This record gives sequence, C-alpha cells and structure tokens, in this order.
Amino acid sequence: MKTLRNLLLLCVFAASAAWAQGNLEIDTPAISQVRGAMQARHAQLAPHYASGAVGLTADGRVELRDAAAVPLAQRQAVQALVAQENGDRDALYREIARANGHPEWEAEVRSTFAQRWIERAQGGWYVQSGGKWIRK
Amino acid sequence: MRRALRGGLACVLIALAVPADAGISLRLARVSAPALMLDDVRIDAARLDGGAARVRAARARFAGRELNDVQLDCADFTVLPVQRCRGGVLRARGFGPWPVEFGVQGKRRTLDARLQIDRGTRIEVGGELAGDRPHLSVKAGALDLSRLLTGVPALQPYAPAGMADLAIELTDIGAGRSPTLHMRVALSAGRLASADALRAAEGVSATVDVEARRTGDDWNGTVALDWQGGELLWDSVYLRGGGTVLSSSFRLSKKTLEVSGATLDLAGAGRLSGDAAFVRAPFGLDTASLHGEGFDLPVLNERFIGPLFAARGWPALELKGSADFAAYADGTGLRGATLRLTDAQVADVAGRFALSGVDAELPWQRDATTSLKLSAGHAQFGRIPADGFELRADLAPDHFALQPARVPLLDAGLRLNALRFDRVDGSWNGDLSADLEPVSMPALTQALGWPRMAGSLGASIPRVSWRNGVLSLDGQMVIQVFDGYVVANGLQVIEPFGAMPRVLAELQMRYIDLEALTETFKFGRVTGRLDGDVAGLELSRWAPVAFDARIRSSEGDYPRTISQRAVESITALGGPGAAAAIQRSFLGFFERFGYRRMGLSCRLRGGVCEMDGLAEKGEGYMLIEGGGVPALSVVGYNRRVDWQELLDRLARVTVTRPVVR
Repeated sequence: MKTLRNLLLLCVFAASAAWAQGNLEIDTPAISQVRGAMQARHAQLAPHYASGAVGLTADGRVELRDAAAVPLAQRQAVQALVAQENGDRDALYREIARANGHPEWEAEVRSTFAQRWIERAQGGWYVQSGGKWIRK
Repeated sequence: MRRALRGGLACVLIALAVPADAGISLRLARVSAPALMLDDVRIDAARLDGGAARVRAARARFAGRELNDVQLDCADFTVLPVQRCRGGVLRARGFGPWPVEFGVQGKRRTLDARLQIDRGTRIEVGGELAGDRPHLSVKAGALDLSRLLTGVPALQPYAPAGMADLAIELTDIGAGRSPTLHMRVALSAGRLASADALRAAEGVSATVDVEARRTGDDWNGTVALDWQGGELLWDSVYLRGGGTVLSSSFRLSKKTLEVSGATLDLAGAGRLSGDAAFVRAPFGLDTASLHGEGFDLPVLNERFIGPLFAARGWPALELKGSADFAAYADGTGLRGATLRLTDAQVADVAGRFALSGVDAELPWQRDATTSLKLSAGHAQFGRIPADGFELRADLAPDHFALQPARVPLLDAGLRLNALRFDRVDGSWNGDLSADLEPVSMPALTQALGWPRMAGSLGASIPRVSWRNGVLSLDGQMVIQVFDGYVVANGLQVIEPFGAMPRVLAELQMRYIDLEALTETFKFGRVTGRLDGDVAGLELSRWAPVAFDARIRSSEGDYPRTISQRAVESITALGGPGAAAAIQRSFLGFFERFGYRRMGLSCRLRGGVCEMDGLAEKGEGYMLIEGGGVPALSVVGYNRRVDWQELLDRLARVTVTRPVVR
C-alpha cells in the first residue's frame, strides 16, 4: 500500500506539473492523447467552473451542478463538454492504473486524483465534500 | 345547472318581497350557473335599490378551480331596476382584495363587469345574457401565468411564469343552443424551468387560438399554436421559436379528448402529423399515432440527434438524405415505431465508418418480432471501402439477430455468419461469428495507406462475444496471411467505442513467407519462413504498449537468402550506434547471402523494447546466423531501443518502392 501511495502521489504530482508544463512523467501515448484532449477542453470548462455551473465531484469527475448559471442557448454544449470530460477522466484513471501494472488500483487512482483536483480548484469553484457542494 | 340557477334567482325574488329598509338577509344552500357553482351563499344587503351589501360563499367552483371563503362587498348594491354592484371588493382565501364592478340591465340582460386583480391585470366581461343572440366576451390583460396555471399539476415541476392576454368570445349561449367559442391566448415573456434547469424556456412569446362549437355535450374545434419567439431547451434539444408549430382539430366530450389531424413542426426538419385520444379523468393517453414523411436528416441531426448524442458522450454522426417516421402509442407507452431511410448517408464524424445510398426499413414493436432491412450502395470502414450490401435482421424488444450476410470488401467479402444481441438483466449481450474471405494484400495495404504487401489475408472468427463493454474472442481467430497463418487467442477489445479502447491478445505466427512480406519493400528481399509468438500483447488506443515477442526461422527445408539491401536495412534498424558484425568484405561483393536461421525478441515495456536474438555473441546477440556460401551473420548490440524510434526507423526502411510490373 505504501508503494501504491507513493506511486499515486508521484502520478498526481506529475499530472499536476504537467498541467502547467505539458510534460507528464507517466506518459503512455494513450495518456498523452487523453491529457491533450482534457487540456484543450479545460479552456472551455474554466468559465463554467468559475460561474459555479460545473463543479468537481468527490469521485474525480465533473458535474453540471447548476445549469441555470449557463445561458439557455449554451446549456446543451456544456452538457456535451461535461460528458466528454467525464469520458476522458474515467479513461485517464483506468489507464494510469493499468500503465502502472495494477488495473485494480483504478478506484484508488480515481480517489487520489479527485482529492488533488479539489485541492487545486481555484477560489470560487464548487467542489463536492461529504456529499454536499461547497464553494472554495 | 340552468335549472339550479333559476332556482337560485327565484330565492332572490322571494327576498324582494321583504320591506327594503328592514335590511335583507338571505341564505342559499347552492347557487349554480354555467361554469360557476357557489355553496352556502349568504347575502346581506341594506336595501334592494342601493346601499352597501355583502355576499359570502363558503366555496366557489369556477372553471375547474375552487376558492374558499369568497366574499363580495359592494358599496352600492342594487337589485332593482338593474342588478349592479359599484365600488365592490372581491376576496377569497389566498386571493384579493380585488376591486370589482358589475351590472346587468335591460331585456337582453346586458352584462358589464370589470375586475381589477392588480395594477396591470384587469378582467372585463361583457355581453348579453338574453335576447336573440345571447353572447359573452371576456378580455383579460397581463394575467400572471404562474397563477393561471396552478391548476395544471403536470406543469408545476417546471414553475411556469410569464404574462398572458386572454380574449374569449362565446356566442349563441343559452339553453338549447350550440354555443361557439373563439379564444386567443397571447403569451409573452413566458418561461419555465425544471429543478435541474435542463428543461427550460425563456422569453417565449406565442399565440394560442382555439375555435370550437358545442354540439350536444361535445365541443368540436381547432387549436393552433404559433410560437413567435423565445428559446426552449428540453434535455439536450435546444430550439428557437418562429412560426406555427402545432395545429390540430379536437373533440372534447365528457369522458374523452380526441385530437385529430394534428401537425407539429419539428424546427425546420419536417412535420409530424398525428391523432390521439385521451381519457379526461384521470387525464391520460388512450391511443396515439404519429407519422412524418421526408424529414430532412441534416437538420434533424443538427437540432435533435446530434445534441442528444453529444450530451451522452456518444460519437457524432453526419447524416444526409431523408427519413420517414411513424410511431404508435397507448396508455402504457410506445407500442411500435418505424424509421424509413431513403438514399441516406450515415457517417461517423471520426471517420470510423460511412454508409451511403442507404435505404432502410427499421420497424420496432413492443409486443412482437419485426423484420429490419437495410441496404447500402457503398460503405467505408476506416480506410477500407466496401461495395453495396444488404442486411436483414429480426428485432424484438429484448433480441436482435442478423441473418447471414456478406459485405463485399475490396476483392473479397466479410461473411457475417451470425450476429445477435440479447438483453439479459437490462444489459445487452452480443455474439458474432464471421469469416473474412481471402482479400488481396496489395489492395488491402494500398487502402490502408501501408507499404504494399503481397499475397492475401483471410480470417476466421468462430465466435466473438460482447459483454459489459468488452468484446471477447471465444476460441481462436485464424488469419491466413503471407502464405502462413496467424492465430489469435484470448483476444479482448475493451470499450472499443470509449475514450481509451484497449486490446489484449496472444498471437502465434507460423510459416510466414518472408519473401511475400518483403519483396515490395524498399527494405530489401529476404527469402525464408518465419514463426513468431507474441505473448501479453496490449494495445491502448490501438497502439502497442506491452508485449513479449519472439520471432525465429521456421523449422523445415526452404531457401534461406537475404539481400544486401535487407542487411543494410536490418543494420539501420539498430540505429547509428549499433553496428552489426557482418562480414563486410563480402557485403559489397555479393548481392545475396545465405543464412542458417534468424531470431529476434522484443519485450516492450514503458515505451522501451528490450531486445535479444538467437544467442549471445560476444557483447552482442546473434540476429542472423550465417550459413552456406556466401554466408552472413548479423549481430545486434543495442539491447534497449526506444519503441517509437524503432517504428520511425522501420518506416524509413520500409517505404514502398514504385512497383514495376
């Protein structure tokens, strides 16, 4: 478990660094592709994190928590963004666990990432904690 | 009801006999009139020809709504010579006080009433209650929709709001007549929103026109909805208003509402027509049928199908052509539906497949098995083109089975022996059995944009199953290629349509003809036969991430030669720092060399291929062991090679030469 934890922390550290620097250490081609797609999408999602329309869930996904904060004409597009982002996030956790040779670690990778996403969320973003939404 | 009203008025007339200045107090158990019923009515008036009066009713039922503790106070109330209330105030529990005035006078009992609900909302009622042509008109401005629709439970989860102007004309009212109704409701600033705000409307302006005539107990008429402006979001479908969207005839009887000849405009994609019957108490659908012809598939895709798919993370499609649609429903839901495509194109935007010239008849029934038919004039699977084909299948709610079919691919065909899906415990399980007829490798490699290869490729897939997003091969898949064969075992494709499709397999290659593999490459020519084993093959997003591969010369007696160019190619694969120990003195002299055996292994992990050969040779490892005259051996020294770099080098040395025939 200690190895797992260290590895996960490394992964998260690498992923976090990559977010800023575009250089991930756990870098299988598949992870790179998913990460590239997520980074490209982040610019579109960021305003919706800021408005509180989209929040970060405790299971490492994103959720359209307040669709009313999005103009009506854009709500369908944000729904699609959220669906795509969750598809990629699920794939990312699965792939990191697999790339480290332990597919069974997926749930732990997910929860570690979820925690880190939430820690790194900017002030004003909504994050899930104890089953409730709180504003950072 | 009219009899009851006359009864109520008769009571009032009895009260008129009482001396005016004594004060009048009257109590009535019930007063009823068309669309109005008052219970436990009490009237207290100072006089009959003027002065203050109060009318109270414990309960009033009006237009399907119930009010309690209704009270009307009139500053000036007269019964004779006209019935009139001036300076009145109407209130009920939870409603009012609302200023009101009304009067009924003359032979024709001319009615004039005004009710001020708030500063902007005023209801005016006028008309004649008796005479040759009794009629009634109601005009109401700036009605608050949220209040108006409190009596419609189905709308309450959507918190409807906005303003409505209402104009009603009722003519030929009265006993023994057939009254007609003209009603116009003009909505403005209409909005609604579900709790999750994914079903919402904003800034809606629309007009509803109803024309109806009563015959006996039934009302027959028409209704039209003209949606002028505003936006509507329903789950993932977003529409902007413009033009008539709904028109229909109807028949309203005591127990049923029948809708006939209804047309619904689907946002420029086409029109749905239909008929329906509803039961009124409790309100519910009895039967309905809908149909539409010539739907514009690109518009339908842009406004309805595309957004629905995107919101679920499903792949986007490109659709062209037209579609017909029909559906039938009853009280328990959808009973059947048919989709018909005519000369349509259906393509995956990501380029995985494309069908054109599609004609399809796709019926579905809730309680029966139906036969589906689909034909395509041309298809493209990835880069591989296919000629026209026809598919037939049986479909039931929990079952789909394709009849054996052949899809022509290049110069061969894919035979679908069996393809069936069954719903088990809510999830769909599938099984497939197929054979790929031997397809020409030159045609296949050209279609795939690969270096041209010779020979043919055929495959036999005895059984593939689909369970919980995983495609698994049961048994072996045998691929005939390069005069030998490849056997795949334990093949699994995990989430083939997901963000990160993964493939797991074990491969065995036997007796692959190296000449066929290499003859058209710039790589150089090698004759001989090759066996190989790939254990633990793992592909992520269709690219290898792990395997243990060993290839070696096949057992047996066959010519074993390698060209000078092939030797150079193999050396180049080793990279600049990996000089092969070859008998250089002979290399430039002979065009071809003999060899006894060759062998190579690669263990791919973390993007690095750990290489080995036939045997240790000094500090390196033997890749090709020479034999015959002239003989040549190749020794490798790089034991760790970057996989991507190896692929790049391989691409450089296998670029196809122009083929001279």
